[in-house]
Amino acid sequence: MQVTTLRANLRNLMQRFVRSRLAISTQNGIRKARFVTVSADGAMAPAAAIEKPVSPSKEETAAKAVASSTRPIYMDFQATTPVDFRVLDKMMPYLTGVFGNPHSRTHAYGWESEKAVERARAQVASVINADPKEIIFTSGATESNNMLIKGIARFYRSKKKHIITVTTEHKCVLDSARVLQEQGFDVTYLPVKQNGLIDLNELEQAIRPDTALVSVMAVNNEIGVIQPLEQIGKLCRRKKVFFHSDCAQAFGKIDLDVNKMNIDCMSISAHKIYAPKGIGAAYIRRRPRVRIEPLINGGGQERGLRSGTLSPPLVVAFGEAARICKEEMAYDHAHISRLSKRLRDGLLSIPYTYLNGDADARFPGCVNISFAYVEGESLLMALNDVALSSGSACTSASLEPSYVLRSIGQSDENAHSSIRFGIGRFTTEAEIDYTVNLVKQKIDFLRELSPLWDLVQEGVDLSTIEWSAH
Amino acid sequence: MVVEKKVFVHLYRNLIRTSKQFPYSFREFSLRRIRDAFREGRNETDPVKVQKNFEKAQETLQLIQRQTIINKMYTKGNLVVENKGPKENVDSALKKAH
Repeated sequence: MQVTTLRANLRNLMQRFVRSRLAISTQNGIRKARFVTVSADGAMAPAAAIEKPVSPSKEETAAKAVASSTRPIYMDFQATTPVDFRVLDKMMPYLTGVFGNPHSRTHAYGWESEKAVERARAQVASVINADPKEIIFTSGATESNNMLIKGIARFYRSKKKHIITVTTEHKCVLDSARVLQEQGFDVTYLPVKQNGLIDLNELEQAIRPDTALVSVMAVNNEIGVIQPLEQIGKLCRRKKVFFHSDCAQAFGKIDLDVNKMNIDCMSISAHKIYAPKGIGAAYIRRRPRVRIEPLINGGGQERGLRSGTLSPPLVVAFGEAARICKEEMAYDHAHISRLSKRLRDGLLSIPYTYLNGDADARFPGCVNISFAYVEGESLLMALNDVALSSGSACTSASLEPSYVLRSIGQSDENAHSSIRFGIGRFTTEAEIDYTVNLVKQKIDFLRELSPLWDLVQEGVDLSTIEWSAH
Repeated sequence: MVVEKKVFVHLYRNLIRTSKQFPYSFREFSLRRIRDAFREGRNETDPVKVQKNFEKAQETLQLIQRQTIINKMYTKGNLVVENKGPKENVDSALKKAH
């Protein structure tokens, strides 16, 4: 009896010793634990140095994951979108074994790449009910905008000298128009109403007999309003003017039919529809034919309108993303609308907030809200757990308030304190709730700091204050 | 030969299990999309469509298996919303933000 107890005690002692060594070694992060096993009768087994790495326990990994949960929530889907995993899967073969140049006519590498490119072209065309021959791949919507606006204007230069565009267009459109102005064209910049939409009567009055092109974007990238494309298209067809639409934000998200809407040319961007950056397309109608003067000359690829080797991985990714968009447009739209409503209800319940842009004619995934009496940059910095933007990515480097918000009549202070929330296919309800709660907290915090807010709370009308000059 | 329901159930379980290895955004999207897709096709009777759904589900399973591996290789760090559950997420993460 005595001997058994003694042996049991010895065994206990050994086991506790072993376990404590094991615990220390894992705490110190030492992967290899060299310890001896103890057999049942207390005798020491041959010292087998166990080389098996000891992985940290489940609790430890969970604890580390929680501690490192610092990546911000992505809510800037108008700037760019993550590459959908289905799209990445489709493009992998073209980054590994299937690497041929699609314009090589003489061998199988070229033929298989060309087949993939043509298939992608058909996929992109089917989203907008166009013919595949009317799709020209470019490096993005900026290049497409430049190519179409400058190309059409220059081709018809002898007879038509006038271009119409809108003040809320993307910078590449406005800059192309400015360059054409310097080269002798007349450009009319149509103003927008306070809800962000253009006035069709104004457009009709602006069209002259020598108007070559009307350029109106479908969905605005900063405020999300949808322009009345069908009516503009009908008007342009009646007046025999080409209608160009920058559909970078609209392609694959709202129903676009180039025949129903009488769109003659369109710019498309891949990285807004969950495909990689660096690829886009231009739709150029063939009946009635739209002629353009090419920007990039060379070996005659893409019908001579845009020479240069196409990138099969990018093109295939673009095609697959377009196909997914077409298939899941209704599903994604329902999801985004639901989340957008949740976000808007949550944010507009804060006092002194204002939704920029028309409430109905809008794409639900782009919500631009002005928060009065809060400085925009400080709000963005306070919301560092959420990836947001105030104004578009291409203008965020300059300190100017967004020209789009100024065009819809916002004062400079309100334009500065506007935030654009982007919702996409991968946004979840938890992310929306987190964002709404965080914004509410930070707005309260920043407004508490603001003396203007105190004045407003007291009922003083800020426009009546005479600020003394120092 | 019509594909039986238990085959679909087996595929569904596999799809869900594999999707849980994605990082947050793809994981939440996959779980939601798979659930909705199977819910939609639950009462399908046309054998041709059932066969098509089955093939699509099999291809999707292989796709997700490949993509979870690639994503794990190149994704770092968790999002701020990823903690325990959706409600505690928000509160605990907000507390941490201060």
